[in-house]
Amino acid sequence: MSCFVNRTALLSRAACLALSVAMVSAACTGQSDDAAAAQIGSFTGVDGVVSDTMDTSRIVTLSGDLTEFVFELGAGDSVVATDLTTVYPDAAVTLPKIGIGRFLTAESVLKHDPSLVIGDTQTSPLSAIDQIRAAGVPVVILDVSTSFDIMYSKVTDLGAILGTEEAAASLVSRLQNDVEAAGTGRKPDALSPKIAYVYTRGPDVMLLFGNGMVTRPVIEAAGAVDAGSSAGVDGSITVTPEALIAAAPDVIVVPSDGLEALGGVEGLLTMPGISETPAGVNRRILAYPEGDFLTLGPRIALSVAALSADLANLGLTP
Amino acid sequence: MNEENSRTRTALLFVAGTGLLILALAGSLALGAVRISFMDVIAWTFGSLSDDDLAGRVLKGVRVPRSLGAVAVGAGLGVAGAVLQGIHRTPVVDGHLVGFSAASGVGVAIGYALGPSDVRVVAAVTLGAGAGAVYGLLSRRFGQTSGGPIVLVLIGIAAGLAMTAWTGLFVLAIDSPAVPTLSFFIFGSLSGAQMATVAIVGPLVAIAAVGLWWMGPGLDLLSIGEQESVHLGFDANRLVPTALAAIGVGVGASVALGGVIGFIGLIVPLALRPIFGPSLRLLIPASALGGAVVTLVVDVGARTLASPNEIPIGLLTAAIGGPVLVWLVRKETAQ
Repeated sequence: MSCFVNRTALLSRAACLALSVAMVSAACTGQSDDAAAAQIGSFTGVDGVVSDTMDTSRIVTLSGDLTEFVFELGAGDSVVATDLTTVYPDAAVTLPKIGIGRFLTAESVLKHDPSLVIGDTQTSPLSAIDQIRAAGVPVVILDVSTSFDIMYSKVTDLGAILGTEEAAASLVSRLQNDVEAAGTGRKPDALSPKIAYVYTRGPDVMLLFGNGMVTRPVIEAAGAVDAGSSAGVDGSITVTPEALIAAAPDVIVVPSDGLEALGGVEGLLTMPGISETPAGVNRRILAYPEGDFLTLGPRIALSVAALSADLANLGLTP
Repeated sequence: MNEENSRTRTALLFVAGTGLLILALAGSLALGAVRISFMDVIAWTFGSLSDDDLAGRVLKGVRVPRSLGAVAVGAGLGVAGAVLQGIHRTPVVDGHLVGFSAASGVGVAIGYALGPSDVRVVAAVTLGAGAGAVYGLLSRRFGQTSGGPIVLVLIGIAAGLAMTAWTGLFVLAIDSPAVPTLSFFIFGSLSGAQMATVAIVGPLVAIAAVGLWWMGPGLDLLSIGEQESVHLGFDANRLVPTALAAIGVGVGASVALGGVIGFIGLIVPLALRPIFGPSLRLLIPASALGGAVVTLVVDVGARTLASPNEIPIGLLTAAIGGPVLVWLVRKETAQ
């Protein structure tokens, strides 16, 4: 339904750069030299399908976080195409695109003569995956990261698939440190601010994210409660005024492009239900580029840090 | 002398139709997001292209199932349309219009929820055949009254719309990547065709077509007049529901593979009747051939016009088929 396609805003680039510098020392130790190994043993995806003798010489990735991790693990040179949710790194953005992993067609992938396709449980339809497999190309399916722990084990899995176990292990410990350092270190409780993530691309698409979405762990790492999840939203629902008012968020987070399409904060406040929430009354609206905030990848600590800092600026964290 | 001429003409038409089918098949195998040359298609057909070749892998994994699937789906829809038009004595009816496709769609959706592809086909065919039989029994009740066929078609349309809505609600409720999107149940798609499904759907369509061909003479007599056919020893009360159930099998098998695709079953027999005449013994194989060719060609458009994205095939059949239908009906009524 929603496709997370976006151009990374200039501002976020600048922020990335600043934080990357801080992380360089950790990242450098992570690179290992065993990325050259081409033939790797078998791997069992979360869909139970075993891929034997994987050849990692020509990889197609089917979601942005997967692309970022594959590049981070040093196998970027082997990636021949990615899906449209890939916004980082630049070397991946300029690669050919296969469309959106959630609306996959077999031929758009096979066209790039891949030796290995890496997708996740949101890759859809399954018939397209079956067709790619029928064409003799292994498709490895990993979990969607709906928590940091899932993200860490995904990195470990990718390390095993790409033959870069060492790099994966150090990336995991780097990420654990970064996320912890970026967050507020406070466990969300009844007194914590409630944040609603509202995915919007303009007046016609307004979705409230909840449990099982990538936004929840980011919000919780910043010491806040995910308003969607606590209102009982599973996945995402179309925003209705009642649902939003019932969720009573103190802060609403939206994608920056979507906010722009709505005509800024003023435009968002005219949408039904928004101005009746505590966030609307106090005009506490935060916007981040969706390619960053919605990609639970190697750069996610930046989003956690930005959210934590903005909450502090709003006076919502001690 | 005259009869011999017409036989030669018919034979020539079928040879030409088969030629068109081979051309359309070759085009369908060669065209798509991955460029495959006709030479490669020929080489693969004769087994001299290895599966290690990208072209070989795409043919085996995607194009061959899809193209053979298009043939089966098109043949099933074409035959269904030909016989339905004969039974109703009107050219503006097909399996999609009277709700057989929608009933089969309910089966496909339930089948997806249950699991493997053969369950899906069985469920679709069962519901398609069931809808056909029920429709057949209703037709014995309403069909004879004045305006009967129109009442029948309206019942079919209303039931079809309701069943499409139920399918939609079911699909939205399940919300799983294993179940195709709502678009599959409204506009169809051959994009997901797999050999395992084609291998069941193909024979089912063939069985339905042969069965209907066998019932052809009896059905032909019906369209001349019910009284006459009774005198000649045909029991319309048995024949019509049986034929409609067989149509439901053909439509159901098609829907299990390609989703709900409109207009092919309507236009193909309508266009071919003036050429082959109304006799089902000729019109059934002609519509099977014509349906296959049209579906292959439109499906090539569906996958190439917006490559690498796909246009739902039913959008194209409706966009082109709608105006063509208007033109054909006008021509028919003008004569």
